[in-house]
Amino acid sequence: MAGFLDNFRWPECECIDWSERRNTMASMFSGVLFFTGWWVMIDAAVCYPSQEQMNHAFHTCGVFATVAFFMINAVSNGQVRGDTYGEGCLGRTGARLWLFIGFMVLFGSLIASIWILFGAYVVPKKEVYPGLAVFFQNVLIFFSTLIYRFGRKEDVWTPNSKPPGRQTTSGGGIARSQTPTLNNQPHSKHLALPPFCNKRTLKEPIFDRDVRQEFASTPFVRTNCGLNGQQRS
Amino acid sequence: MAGIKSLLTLSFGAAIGLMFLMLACALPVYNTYWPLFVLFFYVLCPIPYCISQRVADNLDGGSSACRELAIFLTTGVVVSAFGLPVILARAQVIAWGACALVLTGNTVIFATILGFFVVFGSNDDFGW
Repeated sequence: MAGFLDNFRWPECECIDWSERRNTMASMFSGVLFFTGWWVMIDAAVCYPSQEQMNHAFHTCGVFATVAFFMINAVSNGQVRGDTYGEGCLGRTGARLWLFIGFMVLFGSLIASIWILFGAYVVPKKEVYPGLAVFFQNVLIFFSTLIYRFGRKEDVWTPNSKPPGRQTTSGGGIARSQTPTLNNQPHSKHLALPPFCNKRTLKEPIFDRDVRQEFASTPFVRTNCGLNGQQRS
Repeated sequence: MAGIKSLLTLSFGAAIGLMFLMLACALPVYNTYWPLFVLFFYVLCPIPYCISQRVADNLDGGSSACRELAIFLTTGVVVSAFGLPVILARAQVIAWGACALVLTGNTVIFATILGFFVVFGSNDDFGW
């Protein structure tokens, strides 16, 4: 009886590549949360238009949370680690400082919205919906920021690294994630169009010549694939 | 050609969606034209994704920061298109029945736009 689900496996869904879709799903979910937060606030502003029912200054919480969203998501993990070439504007320390201030503003707006809810609506026993709207706006923007920042995968990119799961010969990694199945089974039934098989071919400046030669001997060269990924030969 | 059938289905879907929207406005029992503002969101919806496909070369066939931002903004536009009729109804500018019709029309139209991208959009250079 115990462990009867041990051999249970979810049905394999071959049309979706979850490692690739994770970023898309995270972006979509984050977008839903963010804009739902704003529309909740717009709803409260429409239904309670007077200054006594909802002080117009309470909009600043949401505005600061939005600013924090863009600040936090403007720097990539690579910049914080110091991976990128070139100095950028301020380098690694500047990126860390920017991120720090962004998170501070985000947390601050969340705390301010809680304060507004309790201090201006619950304690004075006013109609509580506008306070709830301010609170939910900031909570939703908060979670949206976290999901957008930490829910997306970004591969470590260094000039000589191999991205996880790849068995390339050598040479530069590519900045974003690649599907492992593509590299392990080049001619298989896989799911997305292989990157080397569409009309946009590999651009010369990213790979140097030696790597190109090595790739020429792998199955990834354009001549082996049709536009739809089927094998020509 | 598989394209013709898909094209017909998609254009039918768009027509049905717009029909719902016009019903919400033009039925004598409602007779307000405020819901037509969602047309703005319909037009805005494909733009971020198209821009990201043109601007960022998706060399690795998948995600890039630009594409994810475009998906974020597109989702925002979709949510806004659903939020606007609800807010109009809560503010009693339109009736709840009209709101329901607009939401149905939204669903159909966005399914059509998504279908367009799935069928016609993938990985080819966008012509113009």
